Amino acid sequence: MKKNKYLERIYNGVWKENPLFVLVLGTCPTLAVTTSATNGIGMGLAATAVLILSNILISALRNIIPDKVRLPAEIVVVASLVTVCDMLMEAFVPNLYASLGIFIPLIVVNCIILGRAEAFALKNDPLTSAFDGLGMGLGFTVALVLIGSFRELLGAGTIFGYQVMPEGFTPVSIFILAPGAFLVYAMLTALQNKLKMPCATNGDAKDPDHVMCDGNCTMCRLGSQANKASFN
Amino acid sequence: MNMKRIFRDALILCLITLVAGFALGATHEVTDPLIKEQRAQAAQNTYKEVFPEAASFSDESEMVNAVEVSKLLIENTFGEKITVDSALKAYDANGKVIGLIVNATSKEGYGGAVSISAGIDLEKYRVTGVGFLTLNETPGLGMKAKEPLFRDQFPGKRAGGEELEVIKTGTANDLQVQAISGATKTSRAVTHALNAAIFFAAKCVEITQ
Repeated sequence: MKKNKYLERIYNGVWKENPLFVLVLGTCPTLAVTTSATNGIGMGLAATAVLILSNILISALRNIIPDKVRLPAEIVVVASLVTVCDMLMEAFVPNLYASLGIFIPLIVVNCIILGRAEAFALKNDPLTSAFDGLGMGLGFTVALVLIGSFRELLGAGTIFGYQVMPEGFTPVSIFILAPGAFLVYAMLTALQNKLKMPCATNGDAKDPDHVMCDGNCTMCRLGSQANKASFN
Repeated sequence: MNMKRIFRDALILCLITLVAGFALGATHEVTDPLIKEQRAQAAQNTYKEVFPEAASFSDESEMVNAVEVSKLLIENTFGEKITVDSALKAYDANGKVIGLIVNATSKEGYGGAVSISAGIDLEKYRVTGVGFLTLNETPGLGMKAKEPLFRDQFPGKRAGGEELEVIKTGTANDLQVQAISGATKTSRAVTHALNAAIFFAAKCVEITQ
């Protein structure tokens, strides 16, 4: 997988360091929007677009942004970028905005964006950073769609709005309500722990080096320094 | 950390903020008229959908006044959780007023406010349709309000001033609304907002041609 560094970034984002399942970043919007598979796609794609753009921008500015004030600088850049995208989308592609628009404000405060800016874009060239954003965005999308499908299937008997459960199935409404999000996410994390799969919340992973932080949050090495705060 | 460093960092941060601010301002300048146009167009489409017989809609000062004046009466009748927000006259192709579009809100949806746009035919005193301006209900439950099963029952309901009632079982007559299964709260919010719209159309405005 080391052959092509761009493809490696995508593999990394979707699988090795999946932002949701492995890095456990961006959980707040995840809990809120995974009520259906369609919502998952919408949020995922909007986040992917913003991730690619913000990674390119932050990477292009990486030699200008002073280390001591990099957090406020990144926040200003990312928040402005998202707001500009929001306005441009509403003005020029209203149809797309109608389906994705509600997710855009949620992205401003999404820690995956800031996390990738910190952990990757600040140290790498714009093109590699763009692919890192693409990979992370796709990974986020896949994770959201999986959780969304699962909740929609149990909670409404449908996937992407199509009926898949037999007539006699009574939907377990709790899964599309807020508590369902916690139940599904908790079970997922429990499963990862049980199987000792790589996950930021899993201290006993078989291959600790596989996970950046080794399950120890105080040692979070997401950023460039060991004492940097985690953004989750 | 010397003073020079601090000033240098502050200056760079200030510059980044300045550039970001200008970028935001410029984008806003360019997109604002377009966005306003899109929103107006979207509103017109909703009105057309809830009042198919009408040819055009206009929000005249007369309607703005009527909404303002009837605020207290509606609050006393329906409580402070239900409001009539705005109203437009609906004209047919010959320029005759045939009814109203009334935008009303109930704050008692399951996921917050439910805003509807209701078309009311003032010649037959019937509801012509209900559309949603704000609906943040639970997907798969309250969101089913947008589906035909619930929405298509509104055209033809009586709009003489009586209140519509939400029923859970049985067949609804023209003063009753069949609730969405599992989302009674949403059904009630929509119906209550519609009741305020009907009340407004029947009691608070006098249409002069």
